[in-house]
Amino acid sequence: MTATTLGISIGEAIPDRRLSSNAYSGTIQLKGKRVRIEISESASQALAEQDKSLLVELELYFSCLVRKQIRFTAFQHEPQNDTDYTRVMKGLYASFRAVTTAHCRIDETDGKPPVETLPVKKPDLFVPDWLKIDFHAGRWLGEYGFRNDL
Amino acid sequence: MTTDVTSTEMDQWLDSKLDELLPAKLKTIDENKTPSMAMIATKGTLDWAYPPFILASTSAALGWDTSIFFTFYGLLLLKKDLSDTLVSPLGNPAMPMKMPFGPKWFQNIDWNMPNLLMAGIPGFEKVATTLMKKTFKNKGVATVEELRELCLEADVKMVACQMTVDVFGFDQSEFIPEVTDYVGATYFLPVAKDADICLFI
Repeated sequence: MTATTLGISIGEAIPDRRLSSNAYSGTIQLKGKRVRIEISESASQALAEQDKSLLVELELYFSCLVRKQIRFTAFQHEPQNDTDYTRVMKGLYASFRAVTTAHCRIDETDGKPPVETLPVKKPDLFVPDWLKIDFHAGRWLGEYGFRNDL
Repeated sequence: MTTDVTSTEMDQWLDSKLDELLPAKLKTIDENKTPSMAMIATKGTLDWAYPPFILASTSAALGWDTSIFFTFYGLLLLKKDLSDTLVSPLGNPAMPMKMPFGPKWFQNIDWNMPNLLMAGIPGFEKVATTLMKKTFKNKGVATVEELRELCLEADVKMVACQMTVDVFGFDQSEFIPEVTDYVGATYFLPVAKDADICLFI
């Protein structure tokens, strides 16, 4: 599978006005947990216009601080029966993993991560409750969280 | 046929047998043991709210048995609403004062304000709290509320000191219902004694 990293979204806040009109809203199952998802109109349009599939990887990064980040990756073909990904809609997939690293630099995950999957005992542990996706000024943006306050 | 074995020979045989078998046996026991961590959280300001919840969620993620005993000001971290948790620059000269907005060169300036000045300006705690929250948000750091949520999801055991609850005039209804128990030090010390790691925060 040929994949291209499109960017990483860290600490982005997607304002409600970006999601208010014509935004897609629904739920998906990530590692067995129900996750509410909202996709802005511009993100839906960008998805429809691109010929590659988009993978939205939700990463929870454990080090001296616990950080949230979302990695956007484009790939040529839709994955076949891959249990690591959840299909959100045509051309859009989501996944979640808890990651860690031996080092603790704040910019360590920016594009070239020496991260490794944390051996979490329960696969559904730490899966977030909600996810927002936006496409703004040529960039994919994402935000996820753990409380039911979407 | 009987063979007389002297006590010394028996001891030697036992010693050699133990030397042969014990290391492997102990290794197996150690490998199969679930590690455990016990923490005592005593501080309730925003900056000190992070360490117990970060360490507890990480430890629980690794599958360790994790418990936190909240006492004194640490009890505030169990309140249902954490939104009014503040960071104080007073008596905290190590706290960097940097702005989480503006161009990079501006963000890199360390506003070296005298501690006494920061302590004397009304509302400075709110400003410092806002700056810290914004800095963390920019870096994608999970909020204290989220970290506590992660801990609860990962079955971190949270117990509160009943004596301090009484002394400070708190009511149990002010705290999250997930508090496992309201106990005393005599309950928690044996837990700490048996833990592989014990931390006082």
